[in-house]
Amino acid sequence: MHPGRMIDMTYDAGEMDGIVTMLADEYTGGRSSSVTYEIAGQLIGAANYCLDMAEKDCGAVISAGTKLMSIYEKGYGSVVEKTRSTQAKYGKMIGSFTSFGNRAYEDTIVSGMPAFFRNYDPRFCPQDHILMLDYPVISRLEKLNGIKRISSYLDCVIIEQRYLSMIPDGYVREVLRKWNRDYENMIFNVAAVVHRSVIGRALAHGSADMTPYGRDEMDALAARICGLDITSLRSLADNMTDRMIGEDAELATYLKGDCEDMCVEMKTAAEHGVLDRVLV
Amino acid sequence: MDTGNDLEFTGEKRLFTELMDMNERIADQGLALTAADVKILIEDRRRVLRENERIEFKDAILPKLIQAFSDSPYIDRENFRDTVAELQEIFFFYKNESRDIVGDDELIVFMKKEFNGPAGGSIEYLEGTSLEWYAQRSCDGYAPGEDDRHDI
Repeated sequence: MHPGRMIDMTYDAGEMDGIVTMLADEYTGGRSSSVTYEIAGQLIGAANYCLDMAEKDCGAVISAGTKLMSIYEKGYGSVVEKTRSTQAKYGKMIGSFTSFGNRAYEDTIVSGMPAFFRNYDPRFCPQDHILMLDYPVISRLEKLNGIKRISSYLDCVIIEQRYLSMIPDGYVREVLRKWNRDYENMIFNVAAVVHRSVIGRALAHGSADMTPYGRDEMDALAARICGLDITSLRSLADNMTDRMIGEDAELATYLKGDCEDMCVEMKTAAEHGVLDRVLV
Repeated sequence: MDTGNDLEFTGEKRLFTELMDMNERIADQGLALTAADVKILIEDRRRVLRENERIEFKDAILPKLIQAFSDSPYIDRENFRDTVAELQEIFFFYKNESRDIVGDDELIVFMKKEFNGPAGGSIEYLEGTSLEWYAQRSCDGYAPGEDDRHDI
């Protein structure tokens, strides 16, 4: 159920009843005059989701005296349209998608997404995103649900696929193998691991090629990292990201979403003499 | 005259009026509901819905039950209200038990057929034998109207 609206009584509650009654009637095919609490809750959630969609995506304003049914229908139309456009976006992306052998990435995108589009129910349960989003993207999407979450999730996947396509496939796989031999069976963000490697190498020897770190190089890098506080290190990582891919602002912003975690890990590892476990 | 104005919810006040108005129709069967009877049935409805965790979002089932069962040979003025109350209770229970596969009208038709037939007016038989079988059959995917109990 969408949070918030149940206590936002700026509209006529009777009108809300009208939407839920209409949905319940459709849901039962007109064959039942009652539904379980569970279904009623689901349908209230469906109505709220579409009203929220109308407000946020269509600019509808809900206030006292608003005809809620027409706003609901507008929001529902928007949910249907977003589902269609997300599916089109997915269709365009999947042809060139590569999981680099990571099972969670493969299962979520190749099997899970089509299952989502098959089962998603914009009318009676638009707030549910059904798909188990096992593969973690860098952006935090917990506050989103339903098609809004799936659409944003897919945007993240498209962005990181764009990034990964800029890097030779062999490089990506080698970084992942060095990071963890069992990377194929682990749940982690591929782009974040690769980007950490790219930033680490750029910091160590000025380029992101796969030249192994020399012992002296790693020691010098660890000393440099230890000498910086997290804010300065974060600023350095952000600047390097901008320098490398600044022309693609959307991609840079996405990858910088991981820079905070990356810097904390790098600093902790450097301080404990195990930087080579983080920077592969 | 009691108009049900002391009832808590608007929908219940409407239902009170609707049930009181049904007296005209059921009088032919020698049946009647007093204002007190109707209030008991409405309060029962509230409890039964809560216990079965259900919400009636449009017309209540009570008028349909009264309409369907008022011509039963096993219902008279004495047991009318209590029988309707029990029918209402098992109706919602078996809506849940049949996982909502069965529509209201189908369920009422089956209940009436069994009540007037093999159950011989026994609520216990209707609930424990007929509806138990019916709900199971519905959940197993058989068409609600399909009855092969006597084929064996």
